[in-house]
Amino acid sequence: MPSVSERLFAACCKICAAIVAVTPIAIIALLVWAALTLTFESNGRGEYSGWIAVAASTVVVCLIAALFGSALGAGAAFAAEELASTPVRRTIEGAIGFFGAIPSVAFGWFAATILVPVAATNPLGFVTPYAVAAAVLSVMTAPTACALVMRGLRRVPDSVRFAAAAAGATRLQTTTHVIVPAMRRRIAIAGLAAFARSIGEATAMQVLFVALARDGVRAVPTTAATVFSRLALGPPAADPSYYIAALVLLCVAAACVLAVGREVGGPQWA
Amino acid sequence: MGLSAARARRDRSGRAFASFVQGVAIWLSGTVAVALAAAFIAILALEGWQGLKAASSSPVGFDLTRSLIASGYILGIALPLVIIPSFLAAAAGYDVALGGPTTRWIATSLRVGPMTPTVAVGAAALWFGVRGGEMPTFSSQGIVIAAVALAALNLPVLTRRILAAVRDVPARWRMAAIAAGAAPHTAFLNVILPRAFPTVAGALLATAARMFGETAIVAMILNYAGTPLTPVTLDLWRRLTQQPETPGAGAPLATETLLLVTVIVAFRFGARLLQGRRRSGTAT
Repeated sequence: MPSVSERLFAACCKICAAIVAVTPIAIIALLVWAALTLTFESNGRGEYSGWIAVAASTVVVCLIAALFGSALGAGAAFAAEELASTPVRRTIEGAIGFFGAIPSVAFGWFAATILVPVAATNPLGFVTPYAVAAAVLSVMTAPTACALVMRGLRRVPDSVRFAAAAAGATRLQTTTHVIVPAMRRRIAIAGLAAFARSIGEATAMQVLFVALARDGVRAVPTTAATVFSRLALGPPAADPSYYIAALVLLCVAAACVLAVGREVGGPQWA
Repeated sequence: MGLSAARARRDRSGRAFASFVQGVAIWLSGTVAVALAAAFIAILALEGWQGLKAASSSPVGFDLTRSLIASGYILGIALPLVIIPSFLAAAAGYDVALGGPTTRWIATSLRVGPMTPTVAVGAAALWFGVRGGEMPTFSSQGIVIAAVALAALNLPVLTRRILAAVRDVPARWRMAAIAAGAAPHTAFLNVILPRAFPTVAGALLATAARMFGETAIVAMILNYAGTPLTPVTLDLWRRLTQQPETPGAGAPLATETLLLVTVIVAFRFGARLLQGRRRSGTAT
């Protein structure tokens, strides 16, 4: 017969577990509620005209960022885990850990201070703002990709490396001919996780696009940045499109993460 | 014979070239990551230091104390809202005897929850605060809503970290405690948790750092509520996006960013140290 304290503790655990389990559903429910209410109130006159350009810029920027971010993260993971000596490994891990720790507003400051003055001269034409956005997002998503690939590398049995070494392969040959081919799927999954991470990034993108606009470079911001700036800078938006956009972002990120989780049993986000 | 030998030679040289290119790409990635981090730190330190010097020589000065107090105020409300439920939810996720059916629910929820985009949480919180409840009529209401939204964002993250920490403790400890007659909650509180404590404390520090650096939610809610309290991230965001560009405006920005990054890196470093202690004691 469980004691009173045990039953009380178990009840508290169940309540809190239910709260944690329900939190994402509650967020979705609130966004659906907002979108439906505002759609009915405005008789369906939401402002959707600019959203195709916003969605296109988001997809392009996030895909490029995921590509470069996962390449940077996976490369750093291979260098740290497979090739580097202990001090170099710690340095690479520290650098990637640093990027994982600093807040997005600090990335925004870096982009506005260092990258925007260069981008203001428009060296790549109309592509310039999107290239800068993709570069910033690549660095932001690299830690996610690196963590996923590192977890995969730690699961590769040492016997595989020993077998390659016994066959006369150097560390570089073992990495490039044995480990990298075995990790291709994991690298692709890391790219998907990087995409999920980049699609919801708002602060750095908003700071970047505001700084670009100040310097006379006009560009369509990404979805998250648009939602953020509209809801934070204006009066409470009576336009359902912002809530629908937030809902779509959440659904896309959730779909990516479920795909990642199916492969690796839950990504390491931070 | 000659033809296949030539093909084999070409194959070998092609493989060697591919290996060389991959090796260069791998080393280049590591080098780029280190160089970017070093450049970021150097620029931030230089600009931040110049900002500090400029502020100390200016008669007006540059006071971040109020922003730090505001950040501490929000953290003070949000942290208990995250720590207690996360800890109990992790206990439910760890042991089915404590969680019952919620053990399975939480496993599903923790896959998606930690990556919820901040704008989605911010928009939901804004709607909840403005339409679901009453519009914030006094500023402290905005602070409470921001703290609750921060808690909602970090609840799955911290739960997942605590759960990972307690699952790292070898299962034989739990089995030994149960075999010796301990109740599930006693085994969790008195046997598992003390062994996972350094990692759990590290997870708390890392979550506090994440909350301290969160901008989107805080900006969305506090900007709307018109709260006089401006946490460091909100102050920095306002300077970056809302104030017109004037000569000398960059220095305080750099100083504020330096302060923000230093505090967060210190938190994360503390978390790393604690987790390192746990790792070295895993065998016990």
